Amino acid sequence: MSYKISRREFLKISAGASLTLAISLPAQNISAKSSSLKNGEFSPSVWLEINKNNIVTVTVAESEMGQGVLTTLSMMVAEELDTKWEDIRAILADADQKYGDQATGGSTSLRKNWTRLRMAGAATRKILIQAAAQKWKIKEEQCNTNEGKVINLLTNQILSYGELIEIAASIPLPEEVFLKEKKDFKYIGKPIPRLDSPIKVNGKAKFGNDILIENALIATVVHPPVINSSIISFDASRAKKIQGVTHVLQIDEGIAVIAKDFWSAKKGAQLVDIVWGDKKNNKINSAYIKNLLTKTLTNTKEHNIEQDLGNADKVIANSENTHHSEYFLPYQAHASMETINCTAFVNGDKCEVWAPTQTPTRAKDEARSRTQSFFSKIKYKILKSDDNSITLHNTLIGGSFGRKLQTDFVSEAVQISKLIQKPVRLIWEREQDIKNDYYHPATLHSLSAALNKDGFPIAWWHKATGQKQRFGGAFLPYNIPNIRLQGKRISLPIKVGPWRSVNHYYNAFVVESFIDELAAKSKIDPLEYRLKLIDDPQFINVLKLVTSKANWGGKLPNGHFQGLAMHKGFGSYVAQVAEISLKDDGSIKVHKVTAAIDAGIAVNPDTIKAQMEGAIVFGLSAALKGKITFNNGSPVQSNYHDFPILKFSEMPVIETIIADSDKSPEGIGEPGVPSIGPAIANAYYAATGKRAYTLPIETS
Amino acid sequence: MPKKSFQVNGKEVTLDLPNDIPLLWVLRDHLKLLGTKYGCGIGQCGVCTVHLNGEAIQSCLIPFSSLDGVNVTTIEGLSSDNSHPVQKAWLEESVPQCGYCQSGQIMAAAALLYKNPSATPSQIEQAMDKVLCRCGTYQRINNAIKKAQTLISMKGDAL
Ligand code: FES
Ligand code: FES
Repeated sequence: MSYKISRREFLKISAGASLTLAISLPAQNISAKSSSLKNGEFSPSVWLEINKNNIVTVTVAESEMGQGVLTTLSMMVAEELDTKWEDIRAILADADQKYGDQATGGSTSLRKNWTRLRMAGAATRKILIQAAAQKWKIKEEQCNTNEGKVINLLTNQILSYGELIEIAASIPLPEEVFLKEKKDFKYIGKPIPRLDSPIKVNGKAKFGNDILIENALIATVVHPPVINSSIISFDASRAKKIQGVTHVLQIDEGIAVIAKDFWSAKKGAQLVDIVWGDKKNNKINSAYIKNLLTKTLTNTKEHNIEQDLGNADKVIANSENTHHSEYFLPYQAHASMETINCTAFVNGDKCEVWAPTQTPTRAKDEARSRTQSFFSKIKYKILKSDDNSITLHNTLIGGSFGRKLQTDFVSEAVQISKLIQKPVRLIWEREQDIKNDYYHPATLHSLSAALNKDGFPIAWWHKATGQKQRFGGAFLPYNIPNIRLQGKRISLPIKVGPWRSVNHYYNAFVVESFIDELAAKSKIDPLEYRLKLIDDPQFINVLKLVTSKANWGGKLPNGHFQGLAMHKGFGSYVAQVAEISLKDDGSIKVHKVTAAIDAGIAVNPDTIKAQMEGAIVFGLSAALKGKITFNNGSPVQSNYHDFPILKFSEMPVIETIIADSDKSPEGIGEPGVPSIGPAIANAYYAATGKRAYTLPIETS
Repeated sequence: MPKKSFQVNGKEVTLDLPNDIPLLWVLRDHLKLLGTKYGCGIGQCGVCTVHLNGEAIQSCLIPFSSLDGVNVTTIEGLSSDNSHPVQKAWLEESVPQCGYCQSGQIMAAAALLYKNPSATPSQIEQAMDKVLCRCGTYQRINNAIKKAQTLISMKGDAL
């Protein structure tokens, strides 16, 4: 049975999901006036266009940073429009109010677009049928569609969508449409190959760094070595001797060196003599940070209580069987293979920007304010945000993981272009990229529990602190009668920001490590222990799927050990089993990771598998390889030699099981990250009897 | 400034550039061949990998001064229609995520298989450890290399 979404219901859904313009848009688009014929193309909504040759161009208002959104969102349109997959093209939307607030983060692309893009496809199909019915002078019910064609059920005549666009453009969009049921899906649920793969294997994919604008110069920026230190003076004479260097300029963020090519800019940047002032942040180093965290964690009087169920503190104080641990997680860098870059051309009060950004809307605002108010003492009246003076093109992103949610690089490129009055392509060296990141913040956690006579927790007390520290992902899936979560943020001038899975990363590590400690203390199998404490069927399902696939508790090759962890985040349930052994030097070799995910309906199962593989590798790098430390007010690491990430030979076999589901799709980009760290730490405990209280695991 | 002549993707080029500019930036900024990527500049990430006289090298480490008479192949020269067996295998295994490292991965794999079409797993590891992928596509890269080996040996696909 098909279910029906009326326009009113749809508006209701929209309001429930979010009150932003983006969500209410499709409702507007599916109202009377928006179908039109422009340049001979039929644009029934802002999300798609059909041309005379049946080519359907889907406009994707999310950012493509490797998560496959161009393909999965197009599948939603193709499904309801009933078109041939080969006729689908996908393009990235420029920043424009008509798409609502454009920001890709928090693994929300599928959730945000699931209804609105299928609605757009379904509404378009409906008017194409109406167009055909008009032409044939029959009833709508006497028509059907098949892969881009309308069929006359009485005569078997056929009209392609392309042949119908002119009539369709005069038909108002319907107020209600039927969306398909899961069993009728043709594309959704299939491992459709990604649309962007061909250009990514022949070198033709254009990332931000590959935007060529006529007469553009190349810029790089020297940032303060000590956090927030200011520039007292600088001498560009040595830098300007480098052939090709055209300008050396001060901008808000540092000194920009501009040249005809990157190599000259880079050489010039090394030769600018800068006198830095205001080095008060010199005192910041890793020990200083750790001290501040410890002090803040101990001073519980100042803590905010995030959750308080029962009397966790009292139960623990009065219990004989308790357990206590502290965990520390360091700063982490994003280290996408593509370094920070942005191309800008400011021309009077107009500006055109090409940015690899996760937030086109905010990037455009940044470009606007920098174009129109830079160096102006008078506060500039911001023009209407839908003005045409600023154009922001969103490029393919060569990895982001949260970094390109920031707009610092847009600010820099626009300032430079405005000063030199020429188009400019800003490229950060890797060293600038690692040292000027918005890091994942370090956090310190204290966990205490009281156990009953059977060894199960009756009280749980989690205290945490860090910059931007948050409890997302710390709320327990376990049934424990007394729970307290409390903590306080510390204030430091280190820039921090979202990093793949954000607070779920550290909270899952401490929760899943500590529960494993409790199971070990009580001498109960970690799977059995968890199953006793949960009743959410989706959690039970992923745990059972993963442990049976991984042969949990079964015979393993000699010297191999397994660890288990589970976590829910971004709407999805994940459980993972890591299988490791120890190398001669005591370090960890990960052989296999088995993962089960319940992400609702699997729109593209191959994309889910790819995202799980990517998330696990991302988590393994943080669990086994790199971290960011500070010394003399400066991050110590600068490139992949001292901020290593997982290599080919360190890659485990990853097997992903996707749970069957009829629920709406949930996040897939981030949910795989949080549980891999604790799964490895728990396997390490199984192998050595030693508990990892930090990541990366210190094995020596 | 010295003039150097060398071959890039089968075409003779002559350029007049500073001695120390690395091949990576010669390709990207002076020949506008943008398929080869910058990742670290210090020989640590391999996303800049191209073929120099048939060998996989990290182009960020090769100075212009050493280019006289050499033969360079970039991703653009491998095939533009994805007909190279390594590219075919990459597509069949749906390797790329963000895609930024993939030119380097493919060039490293192609150089390995030119030399040694039946490279063993440890030889594959040795060659591929030089190219990093932050998106974590290694498992698919491994599968794709094995598929390319099959394409080459079973179907006689030309490298
Ligand atoms: S850019 Fe050449 S190895 Fe990283
Ligand atoms: S595919 Fe993104 S870095 Fe490899």
